[in-house]
Amino acid sequence: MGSLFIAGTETGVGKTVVVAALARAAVAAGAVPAICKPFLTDDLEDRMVVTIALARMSRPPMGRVAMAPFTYGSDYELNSLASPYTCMRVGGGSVDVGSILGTIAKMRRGAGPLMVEGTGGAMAPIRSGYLMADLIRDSGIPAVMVTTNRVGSLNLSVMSAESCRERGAAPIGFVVNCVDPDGYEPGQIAADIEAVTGVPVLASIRLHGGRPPPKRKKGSLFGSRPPLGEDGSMAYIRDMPKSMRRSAAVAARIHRGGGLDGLARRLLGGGEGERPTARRGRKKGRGAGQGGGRRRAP
Amino acid sequence: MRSVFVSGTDTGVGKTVVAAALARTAARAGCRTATYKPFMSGGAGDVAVMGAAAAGLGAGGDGGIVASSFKYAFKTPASPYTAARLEGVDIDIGAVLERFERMQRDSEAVVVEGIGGAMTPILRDYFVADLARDMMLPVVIVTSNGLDSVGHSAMAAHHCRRRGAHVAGFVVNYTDEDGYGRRVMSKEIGAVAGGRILASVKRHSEGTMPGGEELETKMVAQAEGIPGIGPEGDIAASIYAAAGASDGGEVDGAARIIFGPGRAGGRAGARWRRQARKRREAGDRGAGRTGPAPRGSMWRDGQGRGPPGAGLLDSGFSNLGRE
Repeated sequence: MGSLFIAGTETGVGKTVVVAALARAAVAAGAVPAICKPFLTDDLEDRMVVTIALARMSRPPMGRVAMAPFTYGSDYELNSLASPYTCMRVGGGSVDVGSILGTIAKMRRGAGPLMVEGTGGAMAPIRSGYLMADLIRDSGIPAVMVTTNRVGSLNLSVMSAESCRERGAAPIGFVVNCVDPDGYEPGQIAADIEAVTGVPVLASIRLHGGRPPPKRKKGSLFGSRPPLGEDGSMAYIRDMPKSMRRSAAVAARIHRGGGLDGLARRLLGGGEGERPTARRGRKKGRGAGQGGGRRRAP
Repeated sequence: MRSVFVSGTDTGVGKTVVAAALARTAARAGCRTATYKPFMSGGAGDVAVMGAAAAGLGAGGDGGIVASSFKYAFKTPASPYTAARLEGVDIDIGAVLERFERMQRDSEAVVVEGIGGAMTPILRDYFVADLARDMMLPVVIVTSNGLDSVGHSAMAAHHCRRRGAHVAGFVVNYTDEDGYGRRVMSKEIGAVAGGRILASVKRHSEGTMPGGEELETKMVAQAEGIPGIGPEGDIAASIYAAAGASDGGEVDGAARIIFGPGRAGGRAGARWRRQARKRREAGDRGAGRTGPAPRGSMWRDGQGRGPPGAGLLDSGFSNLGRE
């Protein structure tokens, strides 16, 4: 089974919810996914979101959290909401990239597909001279870039894809999280990303996690339905600690909003040999980038 | 040739406010200044902000805002590439550069504001960074202090440089109260993005300005003179913000570096002076767009790329700027 590196254009685009949804789909397909988030900030309990999303698949929902069929690895738990590099600089010490890569390699040898979740954007610094894109390349795992449909995301998508490509970690595709009702139309942003970056858009979803993206409108994404209670799990969730409650709410949205099952089957089930290909080939080198425009002389 | 291109890491980081504040400072320092926003989208009156913020607040001396202009205005709030296709407009980069040239001739300094971020597409494979390079302007990258700001600044600067544009430095807009502090920010920008912070501003969108009413009247008058732009409430707020950033002396240092090579201190100023002298000696005034750049100038980015314009020539842009 294939492994995936879930990277994002910026913080809060929905990497964790994509990971959780993919993990859920993998479990549904009978696999035992492993999830690795090398850097875990304490702002949102990402691990909790994934756990609960998986646990909610079984009834009674919360009874089996501990036995949720996945493993989770995290090398660094960061105390503040900042890039790993900044955290380490402020707090002292530095990130051991070798140990992270070792963890990833070890987890990858497991039975199921491994999903590695990145932090921040493609060029979020991990240590001096070493960026997230370098980690993607050195992990050797095909990357999926999560982006949004808000105005301004085309710039970030282009920058991220180009940066990764330059560093030898060309993403195999984008997942567009259409969280902004005032942003681009899902079809529009997908077409534009594909045309400009040459990287295919694998899925357009509507999943939203903890940190609100800019200009979020309340209730516009998931309607007016309450986030919980669909399967009678309200009572249990009321008893949860506060931090967990939010994770549960996020997980409930994943549970309902899914939409990644098909993608997961395609990406995780097909093995790494069958990668999706870009619809438009794009040569490396600046001359090619400059010359391919619509103003090419006849 | 004391012009500057204001770009940013993302939409909404405060490019317009910073551009307006820079223009205003330049105008008050006695420079005949023009502001130019080649592409506008979503109908926001950025041109009005830049023009009115600088002109309406009584620029002194011999200078002043002599022109405020845009080339394309799209109704769709999207990248020029997207908006132009949706609205059936054919973007002519040659015409955009032509207008810039004219403004450059008619004034002493032009403050050009980009759209979106550094890699917002204008054509399918022509980005804001390419425009800055073809205008041969140093780029000021406006960034916020949010969680992703360091990584995004690094990406924006990297792509500007890679496409042959010179990055003059960064202006940090401290919009995020929970974001990075000043000390961390200046260290990280230097270490990760490779550049210096020219100015730190805080968007003062609330608060009152002396002479606010007069300003607003002038601003509205100006806004109404621009087709497709009505008077909007947030224009006034942006003008106040720009005025605040300028009056508080927050961008004055940056403006000195950018507009006043003679008085500028620090490495950026020295580097810019050196490069400007080289270009003057080479007798170029936009020559870099279609002809070869001087050897070893900043326009060679060390990655085997030719001078700016070479790619354009290859792609059939040979009539660039000659319409």
